[in-house]
Amino acid sequence: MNLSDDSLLAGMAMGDAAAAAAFVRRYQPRVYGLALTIVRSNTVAEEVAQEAFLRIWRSATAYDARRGQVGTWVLTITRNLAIDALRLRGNHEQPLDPQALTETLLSREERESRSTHIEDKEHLRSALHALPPEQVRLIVLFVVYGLTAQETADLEGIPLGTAKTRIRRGIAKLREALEVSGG
Amino acid sequence: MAEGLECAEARELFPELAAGVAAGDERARALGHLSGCPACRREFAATAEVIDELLWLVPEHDPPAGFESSVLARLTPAAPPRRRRRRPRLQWAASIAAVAALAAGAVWWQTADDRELASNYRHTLSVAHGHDLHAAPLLLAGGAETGTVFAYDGSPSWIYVTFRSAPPQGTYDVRLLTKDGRRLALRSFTARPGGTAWGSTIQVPIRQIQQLEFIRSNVPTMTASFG
Repeated sequence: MNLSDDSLLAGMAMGDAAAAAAFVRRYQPRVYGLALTIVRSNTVAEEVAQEAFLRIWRSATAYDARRGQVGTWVLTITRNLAIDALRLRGNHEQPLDPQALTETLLSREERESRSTHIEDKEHLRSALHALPPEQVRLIVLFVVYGLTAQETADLEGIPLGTAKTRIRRGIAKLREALEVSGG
Repeated sequence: MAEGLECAEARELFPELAAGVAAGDERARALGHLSGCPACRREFAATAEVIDELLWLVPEHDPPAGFESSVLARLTPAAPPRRRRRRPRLQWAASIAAVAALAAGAVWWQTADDRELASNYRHTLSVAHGHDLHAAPLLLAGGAETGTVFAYDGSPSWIYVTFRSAPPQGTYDVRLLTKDGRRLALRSFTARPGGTAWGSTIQVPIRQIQQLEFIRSNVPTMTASFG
């Protein structure tokens, strides 16, 4: 029986161990994958992913179905924890590598994804590909690594206004691509 | 000018707000503007959607062996299921909050415009009519809908009612009629000003429920049929 994410989340909120197991099994490659991409350390990624599921479990009762996809909520929690872990480490071990991450995002996944909106993803990936590389780098730093506009500007050595404009215009183009793909 | 300066200023902040990296004062200003500007709310939602979708481009990666069991050990520490049942109050609190998301949808139907209503109604139905969650309208004696009943098949099973507005004050007996003809008394409901929800654990599978009744002065005043 393939229960919806919302049903599994409701089960978790009830303390249902079977629902929790099914939920973890469903999302662990996505959660661990995102954590690993951001922190670039297997050990830290495992800690982050575990903490993410714990956070999700604790917050399951407060999840508002109107917010949209459960998966997006899960990824946002994971991203925020991974960014916290990255900042906690002071980022001394491995400097941020937006170029490598950009290449990762622009590559098609080798495995078959669970995502129900594969076409949207490909539209978005194509649109990202079409942006100037410096704009993609800024968006990656901003969205995935959670840097502020000021931090991205500092890292790229450009004025704050330029960074903000590039990010805003880049996101606007990606939005157009999503709207086209969504009909 | 079609768009005030306030809108333009707020929209400058949307990417950082949507990415969760806006500074506190900017976040407060942007949220303050959003609360009163439907056009900007739509604009912000579209920006947030792009940022959310970008996270889905990050590839999946299998965690190390033993990850799943480590996580589950942290989620469900030592206490075996039977011991967990000794904490009905805690579980019940979780039940209420779990369905609050659905309940919020039910309340929202009243205030949303037509398009939002249709979209939200579809979404709530898709959630509520899953394998373990069921919903039924709660009707007044005259047939008007006055709330929604959510029923969850689990351990324990429970039933939760959201009222569109607080029912007339007083104490209601609550009775569950099963398909095999049993009449089970559930905990009573005392309606107070502002009180718009009631719930109880139940001892029967959801598929066995025929009807839920709220009875006042020996008369069923609100009923929900599960068919």
